[in-house]
Amino acid sequence: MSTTQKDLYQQTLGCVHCGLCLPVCPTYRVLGMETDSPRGRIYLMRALGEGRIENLDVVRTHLDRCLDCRACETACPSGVQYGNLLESVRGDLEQKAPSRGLRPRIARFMVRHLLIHQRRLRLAFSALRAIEVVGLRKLARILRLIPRSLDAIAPPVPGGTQRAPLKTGLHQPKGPVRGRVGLFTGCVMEPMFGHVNRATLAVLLANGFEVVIPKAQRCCGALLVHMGLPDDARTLAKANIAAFADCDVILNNSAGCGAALKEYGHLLDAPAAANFAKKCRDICEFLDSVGLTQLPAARNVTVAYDDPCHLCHAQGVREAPRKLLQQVDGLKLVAHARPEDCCGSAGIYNLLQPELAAEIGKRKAETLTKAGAQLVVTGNPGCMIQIGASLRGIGDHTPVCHPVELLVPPAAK
Amino acid sequence: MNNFTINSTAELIDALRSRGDHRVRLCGGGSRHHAQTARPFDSVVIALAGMNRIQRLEPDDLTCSVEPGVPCAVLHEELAAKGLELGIDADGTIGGFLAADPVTAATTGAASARSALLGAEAVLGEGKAFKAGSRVVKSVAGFDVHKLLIGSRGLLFAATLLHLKLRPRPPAAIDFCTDVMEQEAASRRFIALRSLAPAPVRLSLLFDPSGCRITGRFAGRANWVATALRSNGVREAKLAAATPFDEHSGNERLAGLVPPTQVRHLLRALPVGAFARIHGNGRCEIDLPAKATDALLRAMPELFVVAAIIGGTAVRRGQGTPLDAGAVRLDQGLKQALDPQGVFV
Amino acid sequence: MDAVLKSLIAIVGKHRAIVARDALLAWECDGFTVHKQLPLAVVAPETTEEVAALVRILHAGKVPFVPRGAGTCLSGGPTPMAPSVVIELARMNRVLQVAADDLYAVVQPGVVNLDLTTAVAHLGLHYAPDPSSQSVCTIGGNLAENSGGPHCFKYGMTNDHVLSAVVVLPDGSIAKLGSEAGPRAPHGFDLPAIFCGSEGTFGIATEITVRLCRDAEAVHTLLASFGDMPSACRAVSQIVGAGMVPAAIEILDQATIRAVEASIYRAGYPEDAAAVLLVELDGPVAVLEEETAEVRNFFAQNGALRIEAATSPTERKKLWRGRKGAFGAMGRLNTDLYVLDGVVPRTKLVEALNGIYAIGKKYAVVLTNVFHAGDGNLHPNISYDGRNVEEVARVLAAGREILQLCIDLGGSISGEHGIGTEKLEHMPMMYTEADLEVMARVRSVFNKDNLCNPDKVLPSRHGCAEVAKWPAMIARVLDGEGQS
Repeated sequence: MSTTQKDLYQQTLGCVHCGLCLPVCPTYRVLGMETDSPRGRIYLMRALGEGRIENLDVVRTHLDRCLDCRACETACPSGVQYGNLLESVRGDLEQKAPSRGLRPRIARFMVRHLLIHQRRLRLAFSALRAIEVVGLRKLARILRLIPRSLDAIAPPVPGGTQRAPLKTGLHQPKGPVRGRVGLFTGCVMEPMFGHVNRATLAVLLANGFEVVIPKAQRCCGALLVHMGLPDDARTLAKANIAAFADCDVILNNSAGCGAALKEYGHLLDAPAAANFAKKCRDICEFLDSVGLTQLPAARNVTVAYDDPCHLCHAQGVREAPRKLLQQVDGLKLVAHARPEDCCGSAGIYNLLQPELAAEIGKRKAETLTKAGAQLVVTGNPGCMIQIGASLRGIGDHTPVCHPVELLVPPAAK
Repeated sequence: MNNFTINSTAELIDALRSRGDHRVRLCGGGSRHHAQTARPFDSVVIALAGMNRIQRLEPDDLTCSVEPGVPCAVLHEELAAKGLELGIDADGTIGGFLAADPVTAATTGAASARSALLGAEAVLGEGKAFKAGSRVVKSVAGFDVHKLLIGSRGLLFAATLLHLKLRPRPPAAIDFCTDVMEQEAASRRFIALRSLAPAPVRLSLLFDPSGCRITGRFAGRANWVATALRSNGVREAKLAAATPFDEHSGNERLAGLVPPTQVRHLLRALPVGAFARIHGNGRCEIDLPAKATDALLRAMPELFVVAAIIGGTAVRRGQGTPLDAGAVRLDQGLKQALDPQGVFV
Repeated sequence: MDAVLKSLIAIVGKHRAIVARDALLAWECDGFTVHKQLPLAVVAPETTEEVAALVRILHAGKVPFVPRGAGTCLSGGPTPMAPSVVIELARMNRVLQVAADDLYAVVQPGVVNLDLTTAVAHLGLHYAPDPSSQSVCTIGGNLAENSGGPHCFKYGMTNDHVLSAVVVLPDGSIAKLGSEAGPRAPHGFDLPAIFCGSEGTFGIATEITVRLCRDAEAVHTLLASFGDMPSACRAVSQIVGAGMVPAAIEILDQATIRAVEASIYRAGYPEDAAAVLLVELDGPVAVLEEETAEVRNFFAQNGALRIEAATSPTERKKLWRGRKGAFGAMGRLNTDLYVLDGVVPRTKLVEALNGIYAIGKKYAVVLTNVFHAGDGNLHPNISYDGRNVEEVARVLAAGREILQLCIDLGGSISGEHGIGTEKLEHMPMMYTEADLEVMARVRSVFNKDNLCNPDKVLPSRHGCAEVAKWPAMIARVLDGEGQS
């Protein structure tokens, strides 16, 4: 066994096989199979460490079905760091034998050559729109080239001015300055939901913060880590650490990115990375801790807040978004069942496991529909896409937005 | 061949071994619960009334161990003196009561024969002594063979020692009743009272030609019992149920299980001259003229009621609505396995 | 064998069957990780008919099979003894009917205990038995094991809550035990009572009717720490002696308190606390106010170091934090955790605990105690490294001696975890050959060919090879104890 393998194996031993993680695991809830539960996967990883596995592909099948939503970490009484464990083992497996098959290969290509390059991604979205316009999408759908939820992406691709890149550099508030923050814009949030980044900027400025948007920032690398490509992710991490070197607070509004940024210490194992990770905050986490000085515009609306996995399970942020939403005059928060369950978005999961992602999304949509809110709010672009698509899939056209969109004060609109 | 009165387990085993070809009818103190079917002419009676010692009573552990012939009245008194109770309206001998598991006025969630019996020592028809369960309030070691005593009518084995679960006696208890009501209202009221938290410890809907009344008992702290009485619009009174049944009246008694929401349908289906007592735990007893019994029994399955004749002429006892075929096979299998020679009748 | 597997897969389809050897590893044990056995295959039916069809094929092919719920059992109940087909019931997770006015629900066996309560919460109802694993464990598993939980002191075990069950018997036939209105027909035996607690050896329940209970008006939780264990136990005796029936009475011992305080579950117990006593009362508000005052009095009379009380759900959760985190805190101490289960009469609690500490010391194992004090149900937890054969043997030897102590004090070798494979060899400590033979007769009525979860609960001469090795392992340790 190599040192890393030994290390991984040690981590699997923390599991005492109690099973408390089973009911919170979205894939176990759908499939009902031990192999598709966190406890089962840890057991398989442990067997891997003990050299008891004969066919790596069998283990990979079940590890690949994991959404990496980390709900199991919240449930685990023994403190098993499941996310780290899974990502490391995935990396290990990927090195030994890259996964075969068309879907993983497309995914790898997309992540490595598209998603992490802002400009190319922007082009891709434009192409998607073009496809839509000339009606090629129907063809693509027939050929099953586009998974169902990706299929739903094109409509919200913003048009007009919002498609122009957000202005980088320093943005100054009008009134007195309370502090200075860096803003991480995210490579899905920016092209897909540019208005969320603009709302984030507006809220920060209105509440008296100087905002720095470094031009040199890059993709957080989360998807690369999830796919077992940590080396590519490390390059990006180093670039980001350099880009935000002069910021004491680094904010983001994509829970998935936020979780990855906070784990740079683990990824790079260097003091600078750990120091960077400590400075990262989710926008809601930050706003709640400093407090709003400008009250948001009043809205007469009922809202269901759904916790992004990478915010509640990975970052432990649960109350902040709710507390902020409650400061919106006229807004009524309604509860729905299992708000901390994954919606099935999980990075590019819906590309890799379309059937499972669709079923998990459907369950999420059903609980949200029951709550009967006029607006669904969640703080991660992947979740916004998936929840919106899943709701439409069951004939519910409730719009989905980011909490920060509801926090913009009237004057800043 | 004489009948036996037994004073100890050793005597019981001796009696079973010296019974010759005779089959055995087990009997507690000879109370009514055991008179199930006619006793075959070739059988002897083994009465366990002599085994009447309270062997162990541990107030602080909330358990006791008693021989089957202990009269329930004696046990109740002993327990009351120590601030305890069984929580079930047991009468006759304790062994006979558990083996008969008769219909009582208990409500759902209250103590039952099944919940009270923690373990037992017993003897099979072939004379083999065994035990099952334990004498502590909680044990899941091994199969709960002792629970098969409940309602077994002495057909599977003879219990020689019973370990029972006790509870603290509530500080106050008040019997209550309602005024006479029509069927529909009574049925609704019955469901509502049964759904209270805490529920009355006893609850019964009494039906006779004059109409329906509900009676029951609230138990707990004195101030709460008084409040419960007031807030549920019932008055304090102990009601004795009317019945036209006695061994020589020509009437029969049906015992059954009815879901509370089906009570209204059952009441509607009752023939003229019937008297019914329907209890909070789903159990009911209906007294009616013999000639009306069969028609009612035939109608029962459609009302989701399981029922059997338990009183009247001995030859008809035990006849009832058809049971699930698989369950009947298991019943027969248990009899065959525990009493292969068919000793107990 | 291949033909049997093929027919099984034909019934459930490929996506609900697992035959790959490596994947099957995930099913080789439950919460009791000492005993492991790789199954032949796993199949996941969704209906009673599918279960019956699977069982008929297995019965015809004479292939042993084992039903399994969430696999949280702590005694090896769903772990095969010999290579068997595992019938995974987690997919049978639908609540089939809720009869609110009749106070019952009909559920499939894979419904998670807490999910049932959640499903009926809006009606002001709940399902009362609450094993510590209630957020995971299934009603089918609860029925098989006759599960308990903290609230069983007041509300009774699973057995007191089962009205009826549709079961697939080990020959593939279907029987309905009991009825929705009550468990025993006036002209039948109490079949649900004997089926409950049969640990999956009597058949597979596929539709289970359980009682629902009305929610109490309010719940009060009190927590007190004491400088010594006898004081805490005395307080419990006085509470029950005063005629109160609390919904739960739990005690943590000093070793547990220290483990909890050193972990992320830190609950802020006083450092000099040797026992923490948690009492939960439920009922009408007016009653609770009186009872809470009395309980406080009993705490104070016995020299409680600190008393806390809570009525709101969040505050109550805080008081339960240490208790709920006890297993996790122990789990973090080493790679494996052995959660023991034994019962003594409540009056013997102090004696039992002292004996258990002595045994722990004798075998040099890391041992703490958490227990349901109301019913004398002890859960000694032993934290150990399962890869160390010598340590495992010491742990098992300590476990065996603790159970002997429970029996000697008039108790039982299991209060709620079951016998499974874990305590097979301990059954003769509690029961004679005659007792076990009578139990075997009853099993034969349901499971004539011993194909359904074979060789569990009752020890047999041709039992599992691994379990059979334990006595020798234990003997080695016992022999060597003088030298070490």
